[in-house]
Amino acid sequence: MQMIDDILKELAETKLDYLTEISESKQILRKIEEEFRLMEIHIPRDRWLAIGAHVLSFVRRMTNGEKLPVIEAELFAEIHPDMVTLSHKVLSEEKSAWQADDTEAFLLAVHFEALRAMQMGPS
Amino acid sequence: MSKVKIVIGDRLGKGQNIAKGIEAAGGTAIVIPGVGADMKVGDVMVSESADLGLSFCGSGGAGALTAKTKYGFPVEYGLRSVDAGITALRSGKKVIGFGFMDTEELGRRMAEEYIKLGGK
Repeated sequence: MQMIDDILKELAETKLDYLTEISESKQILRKIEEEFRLMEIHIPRDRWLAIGAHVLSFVRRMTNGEKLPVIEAELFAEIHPDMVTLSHKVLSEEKSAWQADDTEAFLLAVHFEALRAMQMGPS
Repeated sequence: MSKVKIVIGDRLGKGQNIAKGIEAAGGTAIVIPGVGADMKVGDVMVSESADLGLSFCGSGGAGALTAKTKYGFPVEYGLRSVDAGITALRSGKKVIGFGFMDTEELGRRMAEEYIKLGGK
């Protein structure tokens, strides 16, 4: 939890326009922290920083109603399906108006896959 | 005189159009292959002794911040236009993160600007 606060503080200091997204981002980051704790996968600080920046940008896109281009289906084969499922889970369970699509789930899942591969080796 | 060498890391493994633009401007482009390539920009910049790194994902932040944390590169990210990238370049940033923008124009103008600034 302290790590999440530290990361968000650092990101907000370097990019002031992130300030409005911090509260919602923190909820998502807490879920990620919990899910990876249950899987006994450690998230190093540099990975937290990258994930934090990604989640802040995700919340901004959702708030602005911005959609990213659809991702080719074959790219999903490069990521463990559990990581895509997990990504959908942490992004979709929020009690918010937004609905994270497959593209958003994939982009976050790439971060998860990097952590999973680091811990367990490539699938 | 050596050419400007620019590393491209895109979350989806793209960047081929940016590379064409860099080459057209007289630079050398290195496109990191594979999904998650953005997170390797700093590593490849160091291993290839590159001049610049360009990171692409939703905001380009993951690649830029990873490069900053691991190697101390000055970075800017969250950019959405070529002009914003040029401004970052002029202020001395070495790793610049964008939203997804695989265009020749971006590669060409970034390489041209780097050369104009006297980097190469």
